[in-house]
Amino acid sequence: MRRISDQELINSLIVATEEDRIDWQPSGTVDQYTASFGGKWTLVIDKGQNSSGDDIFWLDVKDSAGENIVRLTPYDDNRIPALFEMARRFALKIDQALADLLKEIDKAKK
Amino acid sequence: MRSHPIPPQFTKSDWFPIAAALSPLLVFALLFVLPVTRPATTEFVEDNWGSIAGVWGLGVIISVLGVAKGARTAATKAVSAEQVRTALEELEDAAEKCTQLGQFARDQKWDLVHLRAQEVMVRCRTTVERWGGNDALKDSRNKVLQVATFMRSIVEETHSASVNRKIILDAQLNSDEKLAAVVGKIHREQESGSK
Repeated sequence: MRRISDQELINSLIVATEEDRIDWQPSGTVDQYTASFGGKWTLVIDKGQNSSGDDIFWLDVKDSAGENIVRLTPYDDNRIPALFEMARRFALKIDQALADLLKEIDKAKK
Repeated sequence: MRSHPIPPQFTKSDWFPIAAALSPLLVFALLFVLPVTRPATTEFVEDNWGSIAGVWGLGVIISVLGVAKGARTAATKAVSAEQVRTALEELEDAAEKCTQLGQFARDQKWDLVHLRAQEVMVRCRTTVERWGGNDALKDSRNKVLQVATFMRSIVEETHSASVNRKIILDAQLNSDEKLAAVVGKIHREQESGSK
């Protein structure tokens, strides 16, 4: 079977997130977003801080039993922080909120 | 040994294949009864009894296969209905525990939140595993998997030094909605299936 590279996976997730094909949702812990696919797979993207206070990011791919099958960090692909930000914007509906804000600003101008 | 009654779905359509298997006999009986056709029929039967028996045997085999296929379909449906019923019980129990989790979170009883989140997570994982790869349930499986992930994150959050009550309550509410949607869908399917 063809080997899937980390870059290929991240690329696919970025494109799908941009096209609103991934239903990212905030989880029950701070700075963590999750999405499930195909009735089998779950993605969890997370942001934390290391002991020196720097942000750290990671993406987990889990199977239906909740087992981690892949963990990717910015060492594997440096676009993971960008994917985290995209997932956050989708999950918290930030773009919808900003669009609404811009609409209100335009209304106020008239 | 005690015999179990045969479920109606295995018996209600049995008369058709039996009648189909016996219908050639009826035709021959009629031909024998009528004086005009009796000699020709007797001669035909004497000359071709092997072919007649072969064709009739083939008909009987096809009828038996039809009955067996019907019984198999009914048995598969019964197993599937049992799986759905078990999943429904588990998910209703998970939904109830999830609601309790919300109450415990509002009261900041984090040990109980932790316990309930684990219970709901296990129920959800078990349900997804039991459902297997049925494509019709993909959307429901996605929802249940997300609830399991939310529950895991709640378990992790209860370990942290300063537990974020709002984020736990948001995840609990989201989980409640998803479980209610899945339970509602299963109920609807059960009702439409029983009509």
